[in-house]
Amino acid sequence: MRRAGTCLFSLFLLMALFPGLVSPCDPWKRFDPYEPPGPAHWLGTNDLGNDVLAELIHGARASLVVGLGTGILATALGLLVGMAAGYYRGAVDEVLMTLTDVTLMVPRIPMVIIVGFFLRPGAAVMVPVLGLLWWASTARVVRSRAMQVRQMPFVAAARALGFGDLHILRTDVLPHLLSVLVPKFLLTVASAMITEASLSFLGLGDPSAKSWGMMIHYAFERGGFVRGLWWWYLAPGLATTLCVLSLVLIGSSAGGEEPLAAGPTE
Amino acid sequence: MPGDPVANIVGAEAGLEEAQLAAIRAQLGLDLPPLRQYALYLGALLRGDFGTSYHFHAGVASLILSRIGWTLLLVGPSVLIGAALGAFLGARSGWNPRRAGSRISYAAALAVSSTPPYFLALLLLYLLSFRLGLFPLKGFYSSGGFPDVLHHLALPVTVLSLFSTARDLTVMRGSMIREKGRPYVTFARAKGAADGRALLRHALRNASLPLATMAAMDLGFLFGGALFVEIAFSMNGMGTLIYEAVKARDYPVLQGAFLAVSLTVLAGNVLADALYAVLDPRVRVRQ
Amino acid sequence: MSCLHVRGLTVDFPTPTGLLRAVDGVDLDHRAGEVLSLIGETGCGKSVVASAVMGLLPPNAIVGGRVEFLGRDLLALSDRQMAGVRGREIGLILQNPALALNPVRRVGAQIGEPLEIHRGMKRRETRGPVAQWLRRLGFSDVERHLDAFPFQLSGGMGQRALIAAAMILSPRLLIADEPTKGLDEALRGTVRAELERIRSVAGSSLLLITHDLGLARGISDRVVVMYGGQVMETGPAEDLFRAPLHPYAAALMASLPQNGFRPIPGPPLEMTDPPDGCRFHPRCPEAGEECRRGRVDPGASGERTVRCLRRF
Repeated sequence: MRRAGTCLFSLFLLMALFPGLVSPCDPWKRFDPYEPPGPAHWLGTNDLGNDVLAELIHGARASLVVGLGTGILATALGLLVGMAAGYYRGAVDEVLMTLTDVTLMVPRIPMVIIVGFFLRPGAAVMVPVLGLLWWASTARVVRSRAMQVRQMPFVAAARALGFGDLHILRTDVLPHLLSVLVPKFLLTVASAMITEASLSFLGLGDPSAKSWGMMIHYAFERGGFVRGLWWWYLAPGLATTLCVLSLVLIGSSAGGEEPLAAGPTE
Repeated sequence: MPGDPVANIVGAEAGLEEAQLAAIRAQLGLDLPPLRQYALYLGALLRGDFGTSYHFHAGVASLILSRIGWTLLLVGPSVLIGAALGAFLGARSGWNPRRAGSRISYAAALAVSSTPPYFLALLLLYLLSFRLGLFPLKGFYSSGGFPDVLHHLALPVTVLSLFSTARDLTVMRGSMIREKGRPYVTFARAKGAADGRALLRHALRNASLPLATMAAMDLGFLFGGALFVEIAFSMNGMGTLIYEAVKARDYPVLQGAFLAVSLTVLAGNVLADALYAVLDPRVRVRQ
Repeated sequence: MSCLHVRGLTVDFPTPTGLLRAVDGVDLDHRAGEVLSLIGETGCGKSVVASAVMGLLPPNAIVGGRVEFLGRDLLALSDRQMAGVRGREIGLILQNPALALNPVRRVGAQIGEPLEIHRGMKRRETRGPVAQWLRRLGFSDVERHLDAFPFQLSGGMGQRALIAAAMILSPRLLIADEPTKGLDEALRGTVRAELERIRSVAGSSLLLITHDLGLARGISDRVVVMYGGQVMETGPAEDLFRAPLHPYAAALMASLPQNGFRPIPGPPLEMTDPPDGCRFHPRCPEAGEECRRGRVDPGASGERTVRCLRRF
């Protein structure tokens, strides 16, 4: 399973990193609009005459940037908070956990929509916003693992030998947290990608970025559905699903079942 | 938050004079310091007064109450269906993870969880309502009456249930795989328990515990998904309320809606804790 | 008359790096009514032998050889048939009652479960026999303990609950897998007393699997010493403990506190890559050239068997 996921994901990564290499043409170039898939345009064209396949390939970057950016930010924050709370316990734990619980209580999608409406769309805005909402569940998982690791004999030994806390955290605790951190990271990326797609669908995405969500947004808004122009919205939708699925596949075999319990659609 | 509330109410095009705007502001109490405004808001809340919507020209409280029932009608059955179906399929899948059927259901659950909710909603809407005409295209009801509402709910509830089933299946499966290997299952077998008995009487009860908490928390998760389903199916629930309020910058509605959703999620968490206490004697008896 | 007759038992586990042979050609003769102890250090395969006898190995394990119980080859039975044997004709006492008992079900129901499974009794009907066993095992407030949950029992009570569940149908053979693991001195004495008592009461044969040499010495009739998945020595308990023949057995005795607490030299055995020749030769003080090559077979001398080239 993991191998299938990695293969699939590298395909999308390739699209995001080197769109020029893979894409048949410039996504902004206009041809005949509303063309169904055919030899000239493998995935047809949209209402403006843009080649859908080109749009799809170039859109990968927009979607992945938000996903990966959020993943990195949320995982980093979650790691810091969870590690501190789980290792130091006591008052630090109480404060941090209250913060975490409050963050978890916030209804995420409505919050993101609200913020999305008031701030300019774009990755520079979306990544911090999503990152600040998504770190809490990682923090929880990291904390419980950190508490476990703290009990282990080698940590007690290190403390007895007089090593400073920071040193212990870095050399002894951190490596044991990686096993829960990696699947959580992958799932956060997956979840962020779905959220970005959903936000773009509502029109809150960056119009210049041609992300997959925006493609579906235009398809919906400009009559792609009612006119049966299935290639326009099916391609980006499937692309999002497959890309997220590839991440989920890698993540589920990496860390066992528990991190997956939250699911990417949370 | 950007956008002058008065300008929003009156409409940007009205072109009122500054003095008149100031008068309206004073009337609404908007010229008071922000902290005082917040205190006034809280006070009003406690009296049950949620304020009035700029956009809908109605009391926020009554707006929310009228909409939230519909959303719960959408979310409630989905949580229950997801829990039941997810538990059943997940338990079977986790007990025999190498079986073909188990792998397929797990893969399907992962695939569904990876799909953006609105995409699935729109696909089904297009295929089953638009093309095949099997289900109505929008709204909670057209002609009224119980069967009509059911007909309208069928497709949206199906979409949401797919997501909650996928999620619960994954949780139950993982939980079951964990419990399967535990010593008490081996001991049950050592006493002569056949496969079915070991599964049902022993593993299942323990495996259900994480699911119980998950299912209650599903309430919060599904509110997010329900938002998109409501938009896709043009249904007047909390989701569309929030969406329209955001577009119109209707703060009272947003504040009220947020409060309502947060309270519901809180209620869900409390329910989850209570459910866990009921199911797990270690928690129940100790209290 | 033999109760359990094991011949050439092999158990292999598939691992990412190849097959791991946890049990390599084990022969056992357990006579009816006797206490046979299977001793050895952690990882020698003794628990795997017990699981193989009970048919409780994970589904990917590969088992070979014969396990004859009262004339039937248990390895040839289907899982359903084996389930009929477990709990009724062979009882198993697992280590660590906190883990072996289902935390969300009441103790009384769990002890009475074999009655429900094999005799088709209703839950209510099992209360009587279960209460009887609890009283027999020294529980004071029987009614309360019947309805208690496992976390409400102490370690010793939990262990006795496991014994009750294993014994309730008076099986012919009782296998006790590390019954004193993790218990303190006082509890160990209690468990030992229980094991002796049930043996005399029910007349079952007891297969005791343990690394607690003191316990083994105290109650065994005969002893089997295992190392690296193989049987190294067997014999009557008193003889073996007083004068072990195999160098490993001798080293085990020497490692006891009362005998000087001398550790066995050398690193523990890697089951993934066992040495050629005699498995113990890297750590054996008597090892010679011939010990490094070729397979070593057990040789018998009266009541005792030894797998050592230096003795035969």
